Amino acid sequence: MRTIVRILIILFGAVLVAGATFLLVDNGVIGGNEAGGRTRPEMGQFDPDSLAAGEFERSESRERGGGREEQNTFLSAGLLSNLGTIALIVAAVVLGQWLWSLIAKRRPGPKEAASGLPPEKMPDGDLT
Amino acid sequence: MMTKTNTRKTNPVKLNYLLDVAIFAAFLVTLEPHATGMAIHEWLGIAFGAAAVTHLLLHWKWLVASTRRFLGKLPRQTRVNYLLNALLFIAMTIIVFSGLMMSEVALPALGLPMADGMGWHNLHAQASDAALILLGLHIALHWKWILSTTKRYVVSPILSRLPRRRAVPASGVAIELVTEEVSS
Repeated sequence: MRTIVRILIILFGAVLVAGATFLLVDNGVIGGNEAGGRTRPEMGQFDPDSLAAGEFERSESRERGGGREEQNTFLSAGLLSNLGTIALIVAAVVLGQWLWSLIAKRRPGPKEAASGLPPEKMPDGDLT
Repeated sequence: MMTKTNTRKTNPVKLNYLLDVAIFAAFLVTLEPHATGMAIHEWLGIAFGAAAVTHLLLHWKWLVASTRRFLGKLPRQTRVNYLLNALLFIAMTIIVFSGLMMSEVALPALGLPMADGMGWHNLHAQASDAALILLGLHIALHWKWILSTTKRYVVSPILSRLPRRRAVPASGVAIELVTEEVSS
């Protein structure tokens, strides 16, 4: 019973988002030809100046059907591309967190700063 | 005389991990409809929605606790994580909903008509791109957990099954290969 209530709450949240999306698309606010102020190029054209053009070309290539021989190549290339994007984001965030932790360790806390004592974990002679 | 019942308690962390790996794999495959074909893309997308609901159910306690404390005292990372998860939920809902709205296989197979319009296509693609970035951030924020759990449930069991070299005392020949089965 408890699980069913939880599922209903999640679905209610999803319905709220879906309803809002439907209204926005129906009124042409999002998802239209000029979504986000970016115009959709004609089929087969590519506008290098427009960021949206690249997105649309990519999106269309996703929707386009391919031959059996091409499917494995598409899958592996697409998977690698998406995995690469995720790996880059993860690497950037993890590296950022690591650098931030290094900076936080070197920075003296309010008590240490007030007393003039170095922080406990600060390495000796590595203050410069 | 008592009868033995073979009831094995499921490890919640392991279950969580397996479900997350399955969701991640399903998401990556679903992002390539031209490779899988439209039918697999659509049915996998619907299954993905169900798996996402299960994922939320498994993290229900965290979800409720964070929602209650969101406007009060909450660590910065938890707050960022919460906002990111909310955006990911919105993006995933838009992907599934827009996918259903322009469904060519799944909904017509159930006798439901599909809506036509380029708007849904554009929204579906844009939400997919946004979800990919949000998923990357979501994974990055849970990276430590992912590493430790992978080590615990994937790397360690594999290593424990590999043959180990054990030095034999001087009277022995040289080195003996011993396979140790470690039951977890």
